[in-house]
Amino acid sequence: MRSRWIRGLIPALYLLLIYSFILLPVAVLMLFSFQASALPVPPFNGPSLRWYQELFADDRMISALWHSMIIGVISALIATIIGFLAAYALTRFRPRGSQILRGLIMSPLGVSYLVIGFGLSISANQLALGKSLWMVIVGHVVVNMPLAFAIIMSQIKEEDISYEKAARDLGASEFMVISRVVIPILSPGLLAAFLLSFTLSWDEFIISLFLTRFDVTLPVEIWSALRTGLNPQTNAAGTLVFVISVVVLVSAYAFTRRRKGASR
Amino acid sequence: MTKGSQVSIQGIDKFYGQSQILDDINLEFAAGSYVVVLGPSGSGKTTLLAILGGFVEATRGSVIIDGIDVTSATPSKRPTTTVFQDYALFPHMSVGQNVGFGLAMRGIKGDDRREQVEEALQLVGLPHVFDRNVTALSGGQRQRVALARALVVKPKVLLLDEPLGALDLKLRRQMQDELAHLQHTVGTTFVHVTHDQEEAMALADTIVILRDGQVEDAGAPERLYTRPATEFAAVFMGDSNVLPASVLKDTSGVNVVSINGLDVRFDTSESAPPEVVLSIRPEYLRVDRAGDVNLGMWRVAEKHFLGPIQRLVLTSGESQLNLTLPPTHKVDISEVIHISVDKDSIALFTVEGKSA
Amino acid sequence: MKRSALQGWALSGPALIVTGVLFLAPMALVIVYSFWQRVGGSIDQTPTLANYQKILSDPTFANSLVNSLQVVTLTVIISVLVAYPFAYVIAYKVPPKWQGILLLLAVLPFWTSYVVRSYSWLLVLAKQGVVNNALTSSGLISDPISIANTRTGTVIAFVHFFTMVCALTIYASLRQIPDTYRKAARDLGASPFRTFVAVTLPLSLPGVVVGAFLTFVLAIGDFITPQIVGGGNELLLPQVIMLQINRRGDFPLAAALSVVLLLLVVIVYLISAKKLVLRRPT
Repeated sequence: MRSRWIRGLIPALYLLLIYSFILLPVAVLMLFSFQASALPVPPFNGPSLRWYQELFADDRMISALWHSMIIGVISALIATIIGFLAAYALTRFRPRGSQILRGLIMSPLGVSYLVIGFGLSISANQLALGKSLWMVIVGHVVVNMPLAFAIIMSQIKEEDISYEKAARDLGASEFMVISRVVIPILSPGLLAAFLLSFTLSWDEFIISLFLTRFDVTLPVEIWSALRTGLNPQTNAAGTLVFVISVVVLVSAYAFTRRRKGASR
Repeated sequence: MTKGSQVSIQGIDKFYGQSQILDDINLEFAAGSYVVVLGPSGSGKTTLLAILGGFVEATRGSVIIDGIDVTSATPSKRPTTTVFQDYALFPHMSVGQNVGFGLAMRGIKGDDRREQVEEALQLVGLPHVFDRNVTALSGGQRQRVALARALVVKPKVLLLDEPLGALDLKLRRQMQDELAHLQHTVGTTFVHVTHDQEEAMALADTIVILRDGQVEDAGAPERLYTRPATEFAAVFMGDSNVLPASVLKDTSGVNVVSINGLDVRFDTSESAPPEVVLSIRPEYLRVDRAGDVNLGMWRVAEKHFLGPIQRLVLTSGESQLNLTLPPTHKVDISEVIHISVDKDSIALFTVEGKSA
Repeated sequence: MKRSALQGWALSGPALIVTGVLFLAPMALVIVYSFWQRVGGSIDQTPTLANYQKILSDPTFANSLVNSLQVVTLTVIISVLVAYPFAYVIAYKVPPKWQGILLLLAVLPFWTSYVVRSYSWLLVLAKQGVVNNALTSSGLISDPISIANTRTGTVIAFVHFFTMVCALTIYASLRQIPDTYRKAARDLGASPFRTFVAVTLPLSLPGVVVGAFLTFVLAIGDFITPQIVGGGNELLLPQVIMLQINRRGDFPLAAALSVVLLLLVVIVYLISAKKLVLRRPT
């Protein structure tokens, strides 16, 4: 009995150690966002909301936050829709050479964002297209669509074809089959693809750096702020980003849980 | 050749939290016998096997093999090996490496190991697959490799968890024959779990019927079939006609069974309770008046040709009987025929399902 | 089941357009640029290998390449070694209903902005930062040590992120192994250690390879972490590329360096391609 208890101790200690390592930077970040003095390093002098106040007063930061949100939603939506259509087409229609097509669609996954951003920026140059937030949306769709595609591909099952056949048999048009049968069945996968794309876009730095000039996204704005030195306001911004991400994730998780319970 | 071992299961209970999976299981398996544990899903048969193998710890009770208490022994230290339902052949190893795995764990190396593996493969009828990768084999072949792997280490007891479930009918019948032959050749005690009563009867020296974690009946297949101890056993093993009846005293004070809804009576013992349940197998019913008990006239409602036999559904008033006949016996639907049965072929049970 | 092939193409069209026009075309342009040269203030479009020659001859570039490979390889090795036991414990030693939550907890910290996270590591590892603070105040060392602005800092920050990535892929492949395989090994007399070595480890290798590959690809092209945490003392390949773009405006050279980066990934992919397929149990 006693040896059993000890055998469980070592794995538990290892987990604790690794979790401490994983959570350390975030904990430090959040702690020092409440720093009273000007430097986000020890010693910690008592909690203060000063930097959050400065953050919300910082127009550039707040507009960057909005930009990131909107870009995130739009690019995630586009990436998910396009990825879904392609995944559906490749699994249900099986055109010749679908293996090649699949590889092609997923190819951006192997290329560093730096190169993609650079490529898009010189291409925009060649076409005399200026840098803008729209370009960022384009860039994010390029990198997120393969992921959405891959996620949805993994969720489409052979067995669900019978639902589609039944719907068609009962007289539904292609559009209705997709909207009334396919999409509802795939909704967890679609949601996952959307959320992942949103998160990656929300957090994406290098492509945004290449493709923006005056109006920027939040990560780029934080980066610029960093250039001027360590500042608890950046901690506040980071903590805010974290909290928003967590809230989005948790509410989406709770939402899917409830839907699952209702329909099953 | 290994001589089989005697297995004794004493007072085994198993609880998962509040729910009881096994309730006071007491069984004795003779050395070298083929034991089949039979039961529907949820009966606890798989859990019992897991307890025998050491994968699950019983809440109470002990497992004794050849007089040695192995209750607290881990699977690797127990003299049992298990053939899992999915065979669990290691996909990254060849047939030879799979079968030789147990030997390798025991420190047997080189030529000695190879020889024993070849012998085991010969035994299961797969002499030339040593170097093949297991993923290239068919279902039936994989099953044999799993058997070879389990037997090569000469266990005292071989445990089989629904080994034939994944095979189609013809292959299953063939493997049943081979399993029986294998067990006789090797002599190890086999404990085989299944929900298929035909399989149980084909293979077993002893059948144990489990239901809801309790032993319903245990014994030789013939005894279980002709004289089942409980109503559940009667109905689970093969087909049965179940008829409720009452026991009354007739004018001379003798107990008489009266089948509800039918004008049928016959004598029975003093100890019969007032309410009983009758169980009669379809093949024991006779379409003549030669049986001891006259069951009256019945109308043929349905007729099903099943190849070697035909099955008739008979009705009389509200009651219904299933009867099987050779197909040579010509009968028409809507015909009214006389049915009788020998008293010996009627099994009586109390309303709780126990033998009356 | 013959369905309108046209419909199929129509549905996958947008994805193919995105891939073709918005990805492949810019990549092709990058490759084309790598054969041009920056002369004076403009670009000379006569095809030339000058950029590649410069990369091979100039020690700055060769060094950055070597540095990148060293840092990333170290990261891959450490991340896998740290992640494997972590994934193993969660997959096998934790009750199933807690596994999801534990994984979520491990992933949660990475929902902070990448830039901000790298910056947090800077805070933690800086001379006045948390780690040094703890070390000096507990008396273990007398002077703060430099971890930030060194390769060590970069590796620590990388390992922080990629341990999580590898843990997820390794966890997935561990869970894929049917329980009965391990039970069978134990049943045949293997100790827990031998079960691990003979059965669990080999069958979990695809997960390890996927994790290692992802780590390599993502780390080798990463600019943020080396720049923020590693500082400017030792430059890695992505930093050199950014230098060419921002400070020197030499797009062709940057393009050539990008091609080198891409080639590295392709080579590593070819090496690991065989092992990347997750073997399905029979």
